[in-house]
Amino acid sequence: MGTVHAKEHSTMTYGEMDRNSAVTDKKTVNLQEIQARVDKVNVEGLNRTQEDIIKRTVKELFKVNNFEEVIKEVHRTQVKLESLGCFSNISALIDVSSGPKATSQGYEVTYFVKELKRVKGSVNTVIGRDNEGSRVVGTVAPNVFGRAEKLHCEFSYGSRQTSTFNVGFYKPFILNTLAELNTSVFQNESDWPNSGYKQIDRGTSIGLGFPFMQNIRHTVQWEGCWRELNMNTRYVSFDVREESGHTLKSAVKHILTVDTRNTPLMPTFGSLLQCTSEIAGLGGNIRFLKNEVLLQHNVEIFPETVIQGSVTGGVMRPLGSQKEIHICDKFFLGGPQSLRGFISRGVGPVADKNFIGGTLYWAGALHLYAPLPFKPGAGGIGDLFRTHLFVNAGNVGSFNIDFSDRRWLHEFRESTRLAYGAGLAIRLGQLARVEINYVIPVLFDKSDGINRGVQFGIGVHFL
Amino acid sequence: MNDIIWNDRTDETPWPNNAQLFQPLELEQILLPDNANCLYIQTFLRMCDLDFEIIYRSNAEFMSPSGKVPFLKCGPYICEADAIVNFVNNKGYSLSKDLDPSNKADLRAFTSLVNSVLVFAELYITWCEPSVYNEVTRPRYGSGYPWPLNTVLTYKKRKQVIKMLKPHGFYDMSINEVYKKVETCCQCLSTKLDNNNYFFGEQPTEFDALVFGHVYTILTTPLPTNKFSAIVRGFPNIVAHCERIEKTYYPSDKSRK
Repeated sequence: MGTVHAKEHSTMTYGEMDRNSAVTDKKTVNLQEIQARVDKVNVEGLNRTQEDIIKRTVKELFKVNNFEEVIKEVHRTQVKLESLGCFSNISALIDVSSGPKATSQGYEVTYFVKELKRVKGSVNTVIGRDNEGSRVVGTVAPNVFGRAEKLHCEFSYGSRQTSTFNVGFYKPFILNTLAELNTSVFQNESDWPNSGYKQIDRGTSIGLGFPFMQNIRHTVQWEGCWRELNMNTRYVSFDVREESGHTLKSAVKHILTVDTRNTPLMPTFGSLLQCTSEIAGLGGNIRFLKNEVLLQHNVEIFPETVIQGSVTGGVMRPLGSQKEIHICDKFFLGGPQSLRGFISRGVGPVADKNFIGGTLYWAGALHLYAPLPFKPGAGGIGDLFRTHLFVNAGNVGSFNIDFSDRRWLHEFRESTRLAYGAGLAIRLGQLARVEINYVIPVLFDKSDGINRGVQFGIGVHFL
Repeated sequence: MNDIIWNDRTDETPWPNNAQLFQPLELEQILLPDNANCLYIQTFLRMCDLDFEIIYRSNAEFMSPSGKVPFLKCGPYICEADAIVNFVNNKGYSLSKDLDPSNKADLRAFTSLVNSVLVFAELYITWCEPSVYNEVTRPRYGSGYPWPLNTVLTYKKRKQVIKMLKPHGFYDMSINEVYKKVETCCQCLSTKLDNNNYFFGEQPTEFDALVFGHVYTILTTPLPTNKFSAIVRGFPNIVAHCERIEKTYYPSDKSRK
């Protein structure tokens, strides 16, 4: 974030208003009483960025009435400019306006920006799903056509010999609205040893996201994906082996997100509701309807002590000529990011020691987050750490859902899995989170893969 | 590697009653080389008088651990193509155990002749001969998949076959050179068979099943070019051998013409 400079002695930098007014001349100035308007906004340093997106970003500045609003809006606009992802360095200057069109209460705001280079490259190491480490080589071309478009390309090679690549294109402000377009072409290899197979996904997706009122967001996405399933060994369960080979999925997905949390990683208040519906079968040879819902709520009971409750669940059924759900579309549960206390995919239906997933699932977790005891490193690195106590439960299975005969519901309820534990959660920037937990599974099936004791997890989405 | 383990182990547990032979869909999908192999194994199992059930799956090729069809699921074991014969032999069912050593050596030599000529010639015709590839192979191989997967998979398989044919010199041959090889091979088989009922003595062996599988398939598969079957028809004793096995082991089978 850049700094806001003030030229006149009586005006103060934003965020330091109270302190300055107390220290410098011991005189309180009510900024709200100072009439002000913005006459002119300059943005210096634009080269290839198109004017229209800058205009829409700064236009709120012209609506201010007093000097406090000027300062706040200058800051807000600066954040908006940063979020365009086109500039590497932004600073702002507020000056009294001059020139023939200047008004008496007029101010002039100047932003000094530095555009990002046309191409940026990076090499890094990441730890992703199931704690698999991988090297990622990527290049990004920000602001390709001058309207904050982004073209990016990544290639990664993992410690389990899985490689992925992804070429994506992102475009905001379609037809001058807030809608965003996301397209990508990808190849993704993943290994599921607990299910006995390796999967290669090759495909393309195109998605349209648009905000709808405050905090609500719709995303509509189409994905065409060619999946190839290969067995890991000769001794994989025959039920899994039967699914080998190639399938083509063409699916439309709708995601509704209502997010009132203050931050996605370790929020302290607010809630999240996410409803996902996916229908596959517009072309391709996979037909199903899948619905999932996720609800999370956070309550701060004492300062920095937060109770978080999450519930998630999903149901799917085959459509049309398809009678069975393919294994790579099914729901799986277990692992450090979903149901703690179980190995990855370690819950639910099993065929000869291979977990085959189910068509119905639910999971819930209750966390109590608190800062480290005695708060070492408070205000600095210590803020990245949280201790937590948790209980999580869930179940996954394939049931023939019949509302007149409730036996399936009974069975589903009877076989609930439950585990509790305590541990440390570490936030890595705004990107990911690491958890080291000690977990004790309480309710489990004898065929489940349980993880009693220390469990380590890293990722973005946690239950 | 697992094949080798089986070959070394004699397993005296009886033949299970739920043995299943998996192969591609016969009507709309299977191709000449796979069909020949499937017929070979079926005939071999019938000759051994073993019970089995044929299961047709459009993804049989991908279910098979090595990608070869047919494959046999026998209890917890899965074995495919040539390993099936060894697997069955190790169960104590052998058609060639009474042969004397020189005949056994001959059997191996002739088996390798058929595998190195007829099999490659079939692959060549199916994947490298333009008229057959475009009119038969492409539509059939891609039949189980939606567009554009059918095109991609057929292209991928063709590359794989070409990669296999290259080191054996088949890919660089002209179609006439391939026919010439087939003719020489048939000549060889015809001389060996002479006027006998079966290749090695009065009882059929796995080699008879192998020859039957290939010859029957070559004779009955409709292709845009009939040169291949014409060559085989030029050897009456081989055709008679084929008919003999068909009558003996597929007596009431309407589907076999």
